[in-house]
Amino acid sequence: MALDLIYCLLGLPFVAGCIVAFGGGGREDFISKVAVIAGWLYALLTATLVVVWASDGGRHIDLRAFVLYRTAEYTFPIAFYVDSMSVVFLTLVAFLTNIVFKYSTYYMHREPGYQKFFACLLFLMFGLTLLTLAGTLDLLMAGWEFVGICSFLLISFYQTRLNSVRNAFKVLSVYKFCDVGLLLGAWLSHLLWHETQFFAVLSSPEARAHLADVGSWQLLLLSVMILIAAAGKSAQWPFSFWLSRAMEGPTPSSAIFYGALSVHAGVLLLHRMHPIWSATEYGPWLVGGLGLTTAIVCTGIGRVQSNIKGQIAYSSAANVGIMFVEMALNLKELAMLHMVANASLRCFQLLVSPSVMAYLLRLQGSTNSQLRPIGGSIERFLPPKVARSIYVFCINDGYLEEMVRSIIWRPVKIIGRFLHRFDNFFYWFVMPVLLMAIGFLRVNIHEDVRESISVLSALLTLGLAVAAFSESKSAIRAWNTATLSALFAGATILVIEPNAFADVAIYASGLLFFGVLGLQSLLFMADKKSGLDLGVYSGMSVENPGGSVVLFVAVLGVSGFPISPTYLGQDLILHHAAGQDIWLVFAMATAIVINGVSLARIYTKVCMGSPVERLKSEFTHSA
Amino acid sequence: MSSFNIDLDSVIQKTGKYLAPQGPLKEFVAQNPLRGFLDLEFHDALRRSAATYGAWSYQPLGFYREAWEKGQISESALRRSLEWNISDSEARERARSDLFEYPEGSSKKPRSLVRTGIRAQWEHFTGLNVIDKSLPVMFRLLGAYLDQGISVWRMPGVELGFFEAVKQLVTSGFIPYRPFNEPLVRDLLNSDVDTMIPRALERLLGNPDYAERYVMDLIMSHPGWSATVSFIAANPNALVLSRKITIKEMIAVELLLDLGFLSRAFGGDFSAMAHYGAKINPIPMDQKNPMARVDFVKSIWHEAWEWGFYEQSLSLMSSLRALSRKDEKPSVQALFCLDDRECSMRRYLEAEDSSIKTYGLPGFFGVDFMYQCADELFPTRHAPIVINPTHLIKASYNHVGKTNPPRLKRRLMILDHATHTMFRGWLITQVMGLMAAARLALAVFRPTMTQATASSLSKVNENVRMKIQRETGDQKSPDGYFHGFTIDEMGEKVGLQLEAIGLIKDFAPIVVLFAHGSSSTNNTHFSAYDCGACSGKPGSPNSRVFAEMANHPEVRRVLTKRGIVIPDEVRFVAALHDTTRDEVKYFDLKSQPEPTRKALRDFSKKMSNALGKNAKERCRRFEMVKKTISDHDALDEVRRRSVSIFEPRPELTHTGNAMAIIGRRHLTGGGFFDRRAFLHSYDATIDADGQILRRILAAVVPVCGGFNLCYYFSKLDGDVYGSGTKLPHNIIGLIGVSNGVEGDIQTGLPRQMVEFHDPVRLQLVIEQKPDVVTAVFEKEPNLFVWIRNNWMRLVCIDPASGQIHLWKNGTFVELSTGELPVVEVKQSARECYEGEVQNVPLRILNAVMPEGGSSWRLI
Repeated sequence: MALDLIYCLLGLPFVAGCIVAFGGGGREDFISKVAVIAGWLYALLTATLVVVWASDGGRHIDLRAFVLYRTAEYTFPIAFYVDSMSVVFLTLVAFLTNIVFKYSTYYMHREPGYQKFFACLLFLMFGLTLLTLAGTLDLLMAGWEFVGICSFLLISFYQTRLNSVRNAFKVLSVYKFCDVGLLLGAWLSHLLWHETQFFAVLSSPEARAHLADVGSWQLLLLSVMILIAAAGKSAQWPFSFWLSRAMEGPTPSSAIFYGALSVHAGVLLLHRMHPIWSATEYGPWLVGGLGLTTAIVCTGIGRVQSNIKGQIAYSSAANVGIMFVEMALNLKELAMLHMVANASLRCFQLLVSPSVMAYLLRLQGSTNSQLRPIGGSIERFLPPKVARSIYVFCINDGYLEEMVRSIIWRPVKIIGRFLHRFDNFFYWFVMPVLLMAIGFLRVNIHEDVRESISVLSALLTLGLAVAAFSESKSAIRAWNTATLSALFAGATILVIEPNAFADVAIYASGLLFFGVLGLQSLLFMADKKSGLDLGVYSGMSVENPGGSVVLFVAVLGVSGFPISPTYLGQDLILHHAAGQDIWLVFAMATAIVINGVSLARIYTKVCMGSPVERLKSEFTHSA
Repeated sequence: MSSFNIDLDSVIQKTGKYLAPQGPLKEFVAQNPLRGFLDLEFHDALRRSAATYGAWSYQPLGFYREAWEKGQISESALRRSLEWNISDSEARERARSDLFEYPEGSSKKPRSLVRTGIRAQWEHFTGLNVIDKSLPVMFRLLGAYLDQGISVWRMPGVELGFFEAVKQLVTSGFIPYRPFNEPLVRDLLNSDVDTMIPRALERLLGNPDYAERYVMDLIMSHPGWSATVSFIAANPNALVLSRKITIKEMIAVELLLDLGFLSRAFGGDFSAMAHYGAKINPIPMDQKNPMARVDFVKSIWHEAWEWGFYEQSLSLMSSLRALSRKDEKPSVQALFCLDDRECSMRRYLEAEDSSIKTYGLPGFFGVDFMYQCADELFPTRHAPIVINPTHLIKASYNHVGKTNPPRLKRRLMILDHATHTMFRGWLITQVMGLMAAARLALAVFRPTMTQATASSLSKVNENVRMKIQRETGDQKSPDGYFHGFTIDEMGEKVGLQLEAIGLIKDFAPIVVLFAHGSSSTNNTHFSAYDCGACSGKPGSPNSRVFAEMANHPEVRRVLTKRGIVIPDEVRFVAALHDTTRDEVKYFDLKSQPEPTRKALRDFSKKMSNALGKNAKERCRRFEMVKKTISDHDALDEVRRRSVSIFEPRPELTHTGNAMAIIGRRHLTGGGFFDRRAFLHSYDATIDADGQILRRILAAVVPVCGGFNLCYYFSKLDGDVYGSGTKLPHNIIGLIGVSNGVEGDIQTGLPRQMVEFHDPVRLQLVIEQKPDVVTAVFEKEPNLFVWIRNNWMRLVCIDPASGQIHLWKNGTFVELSTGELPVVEVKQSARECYEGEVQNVPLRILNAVMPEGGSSWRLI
């Protein structure tokens, strides 16, 4: 019974999203009816699920549905898990999405992109439901990805404005980077328990006993990975800068994503993995410390915001930081209550943010000085130099963006530029040789040789990924390089374990199909405009909407979004890599993440922005 | 070095001429965004402005061609446009064929001043997009410095002036403020603004020829913020928390940013612009190129399209003038604002009872003053933006002796700063968060009026008493204002206003003064919905003051000396019409005698009916409302719209505005003008020399013209002249709105306010002899320039003969009614508008041809 309910809960928003996206001829009344009905049904189903759960005494429900893929040492089950956190979060999702649907029916009236808006919201609902009800970390990650893509689409809603597009990409790159945490976490779970660990089992006595056996450093590593993933999604330090930047889309989308729902996904993740990170000695300290740092820094940054949405964003992030602290202190119920309160409050504040104009101005002109919202000076209770330093720190968003960029992305870019010098060498010499070498591996070769070839192949994978990331001229070249890098990841595994052919085939099939699809669409669009320079935003979705959609799907497919077998394949690849060496795993995961960002960048530069004319012809040197 | 001492002030002035200053959003008044170009001919100005901002000059060719297909542009209109704009007949033929055959897709937006400027060439030569790097930092500093109450911590040093504050912030602290910490920049920061700018320009540019253009580029890189800064520079007290800032300081800081980012990217020895030999493109404002062919073709179409509307209106007015009307003694005289929204209100009221006579006048009723309500700290202006009042009226609560009841409760704590603190915030969030969930559900599913609503009754309520009288001989108070009016002053103001509208005899027993205001929720542009004649506020204080003055026996004695005899039984009643909610509130009823109250009760019933019909007519524009809605449900609908947080279109304000008619009611009564006309009552027979007309025009031309052109340009190119779409708007510092957190301030109107607007220029119709009108305009060159340069169309209708005179190319041309299309007759307004969302043709209403008669008669 519960399983059927869950299938309905998942299927409803997904089907409704498809109907809205593809059917009905894009008419507003049809779209809004579908959305509103879907919302009510969803609320009904959620209520039923809550009743079912509660009537069982509030014990968690563990549902094993079926196994997607199984080999001798690996399984990918589809399992669902319902506990108090799921119930609370689902109720929140049901409540807030219904409100935002009703709100948007009027607010988005006559706005171009009405259809896209509602479709994205419905898919978001689907992603959040999957996230909440997932019984394994892999499935949670699938939901996570859906939420990430819908965020990206809604931030770049006004895609002819360059600021929207840039900020959407910034947010997506943070998401992708932090997904490395989930990727590695998922792998690590496989490793530690030699099968996917079900959330349901994590808190059981057997699991706890098993945890005691596992090496503490591995647990700590897993905790750090999970923490990175959670921090990225929930805009915790040092990733807090993206939350205010994300306020580029229509207000209701900002309210539901960044005020309310997706920003709390990190808390949910922490809750799920609580048995693991609380079992380590330093885990709770890390979580609590990160939360406290975020709370302090974000409160400070929020205080100097002179725009209302930025202010709300940082307050929201600060509160999530406090939720992290609450989780670290094992106050799980308090964290859940806080989550509901913060989500509702920020959603409301964002939805009524235009009112702040009339309201604060009236207060300001009031004779009752207690009501006046005049900002106090920070110099009141601190020495001037300290006060100014704090102010400078806060008004620069804590320099978080610069920090993240210089620590994470700039080294990659620098290495990439260095590698570009050897472009020709790579294409015409090393690759063919390596391909031949890999081909020869069907023959029996000595272990050491096999190992060195695999190392070379892994380096090539990483090198190609970095090269694709820093490619600044040709979109087509960047596409090919990224796809090739992903293929080489598979090749590396093949070198190590020739028996893993079936797994690698699954992985590569998605890559090849979507890779070729993407290449075709790029070539098609390049016909209209020569070169597809990655230095400018070409705005192809205006001139060539069909091609853009195809490219979008191809990007999703190659990066391992759950519409393509590559999603499963990535997990398999990492699993096999784990059998060898931990460094190999990290290299693979890093390559996957970097490729994800490169591919998104290609889509953004090619399809978004407005069709621009080259400026260069304007500026000839003066005589 | 000395060659870099460019005359910064003149460059700023030159650029500023084309950058219309924009005040903070709390006092938004619709003004012409191109008012700096007013001394150029209209079409010329369109082009130059388009080239400056990178905007459209006209609608696309396809738009006009479609209008032609649909019959909105008649053959006669097209011919007239061709005749009037092209003198050579061969050229006319060529133009005519071009109108239909000129290729469609060849028109693109011109590149703006900034994109063809020098600052944009940094990216071309060095790969570094300096503009994209500097703007976010600049906006953040400006927003933090000028913030009026959003941020919890004020910027340190706000009392020092912008440049000094920034200097202090970036030089004295432990944490570097990138890129101000670059040695190149630090070096420059040690001097003052006037020394620093030439040095910075020299380092950046290397060649003084680039300097002027570079400064222009800086200012125009963010027209919204520049317009705001230039307004605040000229009016520091316009802000509640006043701040000193000048354009020069803004330029100085931005130059430092440019230098800083270049220095950071390329080390301290990057080359100046002269090294790259950048090209200086001509400034669009100065361009001497002839008009492009495609623009010329579009201008012909545009004039034909406009004329298609104007000729309808002139035909309608002629026909209405010729109607025979019942001559009735007025039972009620109702004075409305000349606002085009009241145009339909007057029509419905007169249709309810033909003995009700309506008049139009500016919504401040001729009494300009500063108004300070009981719980307000500062007085606000209740007069048109061009007038600086010298009188102040204070209002206080009636309950003397008790402490002032705090009207403004903190029920909307949800938006308070407390939620953004850490420790207190944690606790508050928990509590308020759950309340927020409940309130959110209510707000969305059962909207009602809350503290978030900007209500039209905010200025005045039953318990407020105003002190309006002072003794002759009282001096100005320390605050610089006279507190109240003397009897003589009152008499003068009332007298002038009554003369202006031609109401100097035959008074009805009650004269109702309808001010207007608006109530809307979650609306940043709320002051654009209120009365423009009161600088974006509800006009209720004005109507109350006028009523009290006009009812005062001593004032009536003064009026009698002027020749205006008001019998004792005539009473003036003040009222407020909420244009969003279509509600009416009458004030000070307790002070009226019983017969007046009874008459008012009868009147208010008729007014309610009229309000319902008005609401239904307004609802035709709302696509989501059923076409067959009843009057009662229409009222519910518009009231729901005023209190819903999710309604981006609470009312459509001045959508469709297209003409201002200054004349008697026989020109407009009985006509369906589709709420597109500003109506000012005027009687030429008592104004032979045009003195009254001159006073009227001094307000009508800039105010109505400003409205018209604001809507025109916001519709023409919403992304450049308007503020795009409302949906992603973010409020910056309580001063303006931007898109996202890093965008420029958006000036102009959002798309949701101008969706159904047809961008046509205002047609000013004056019922007075052409030579009198010309004489008046010659005395007012500032007003004449609107007409001479074709920013407004002028038409005179002879008060005696009804002959129409069109102003064209410096003289009046006579127009006979035979040249005009015939206007249809319909039996009700509903027939005219039912089912249509767009603007509809004008019609005559409720007229019949009597048996054996030769002319239409109004029923």
